Amino acid sequence: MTRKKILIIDDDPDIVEAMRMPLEANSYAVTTAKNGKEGLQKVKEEAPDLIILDVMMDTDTEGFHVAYTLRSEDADSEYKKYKNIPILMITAISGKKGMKFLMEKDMEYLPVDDFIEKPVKPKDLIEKVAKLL
Amino acid sequence: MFSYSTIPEKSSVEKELAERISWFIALRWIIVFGISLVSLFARFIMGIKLPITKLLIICLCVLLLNGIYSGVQKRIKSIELFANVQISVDWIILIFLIHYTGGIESPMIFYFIFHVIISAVLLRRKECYLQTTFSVLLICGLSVLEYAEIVPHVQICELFPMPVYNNGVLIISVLFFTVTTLYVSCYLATSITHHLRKRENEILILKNTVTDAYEKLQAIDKEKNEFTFKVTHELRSPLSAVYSLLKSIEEGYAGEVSQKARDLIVRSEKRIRFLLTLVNDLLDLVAGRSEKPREGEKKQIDINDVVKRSVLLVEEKAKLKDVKFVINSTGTVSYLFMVPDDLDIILSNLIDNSVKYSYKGGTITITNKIVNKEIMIEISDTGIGIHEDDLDKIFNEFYRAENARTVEYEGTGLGLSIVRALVKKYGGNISVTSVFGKGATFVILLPVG
Repeated sequence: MTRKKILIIDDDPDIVEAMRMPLEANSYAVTTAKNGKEGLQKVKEEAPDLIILDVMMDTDTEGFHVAYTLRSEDADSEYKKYKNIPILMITAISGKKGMKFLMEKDMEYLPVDDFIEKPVKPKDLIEKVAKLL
Repeated sequence: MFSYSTIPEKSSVEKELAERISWFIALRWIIVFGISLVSLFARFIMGIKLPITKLLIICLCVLLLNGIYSGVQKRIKSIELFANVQISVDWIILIFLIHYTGGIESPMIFYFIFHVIISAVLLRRKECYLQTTFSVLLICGLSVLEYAEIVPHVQICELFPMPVYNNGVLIISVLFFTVTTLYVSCYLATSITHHLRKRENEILILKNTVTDAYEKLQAIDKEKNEFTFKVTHELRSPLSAVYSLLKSIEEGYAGEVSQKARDLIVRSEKRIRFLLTLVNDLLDLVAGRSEKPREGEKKQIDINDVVKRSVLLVEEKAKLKDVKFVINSTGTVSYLFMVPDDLDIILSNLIDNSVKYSYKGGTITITNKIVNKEIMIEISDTGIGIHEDDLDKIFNEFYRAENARTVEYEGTGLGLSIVRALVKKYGGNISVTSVFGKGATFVILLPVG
């Protein structure tokens, strides 16, 4: 059985490392990108099975743009092939606000499959990744 | 400090002068109409011999002129000159009217006083004196010319069977009283308007100063909030990274960890977890203190939904202590217009507190109802309560009552500050009552809109 490939797009190398360790320990192949542009490039090159995506990178909403680009409804989109790759988004949830982004199709709709809270707990991460793959 | 020459906002002063000139032009329509009517009435009803054709021609000229004034007034650049021209032309017309209605004997001579007052309203003090002088020269000139019979006198009224235009003593006395009346009127009127204008300018300057200061304050506040927001954001990233890394080590992903090392890691995690909470609370506090929510950001929020969500967040903690919830909703209206999340932060903070400070097996009662067009939300617990001395301090930043610290060692002391800031942001109010050792009740009042 081939190992499932996971692409982590995050600009914080320590967060990436903290996620890489438990993922590799659970036999996933991990590849990383440190910004949205590099991330999209890696999607084309490596065609990962799952994408873990941070929101704030070079800009405050870079992660959102990556998600929108990948899930574009545009028929000519160059990412059409990758539209069905599940996306797990990392969010820094402030205080007691709870889930800030809803997965329902409304104004705050984000085309992602699940969220994981930052700081990342390995157990949560593994659970969510397993569910999506 | 404020002199008339320092007009702070020339445009607005000029705008006002323009408004007054429009009013002046409107007034002129009425006056011309009135003079025409009175002339016709005097000539044909009362039978007074008046050169009615000449008078009506003058009135027609004035109508024409006034039409031109109102036509060009929007395009005039120097509005002050425009006012001066109008008044000067009016004097000349008035002197013709006076000439054709009996010269020095004309009752229209009183109209000069009105015009002095109008000049005072429209013009600066110096200009007003100049205009008055111009009118005085015209009257004196006319009287002299008629007296010297260079200009023929028009005899109109049988009330004066003997013409008086050639009576030197009478002319001098009439002119004396007319001239003094005009100058006194000029003095009185300009004094009043000068004073009013000065006040107006002071108010204008004051208004500008206050607006400036307010804008500056707002800018500073915004900058401060943005700064705090950035700082806390920057603090959160490394803390998140450290916590995530420690968690990976603790769970053995970086190799075998001894029991001793694991204990130390768990302790480090706890401290970092606390710092993260503090940073998150600070972020909430800054958000609460930021400027008033814009109408566009507000949404209809169902209070019962928020209560349910907030209770769900503490469900686990409550189960451990066997704390029960009683939720009453007696309001016919159970919604508010607020920025999403704000009510969540308010209620979850308060409900989290009541669970934290409840005794085992306690009860937390959450009630919402409408009181005087405001939404009242009451959160009441049967916990440790708040000491009388602490009641007015618990909303202060970082303050934690002694009994609270005993029950829960950790806590940022920011929760209630956040709640208060948010409630105030919506123009609401929060109050607390407590019996020490027996429980506390927090009451929030929030406007519906």
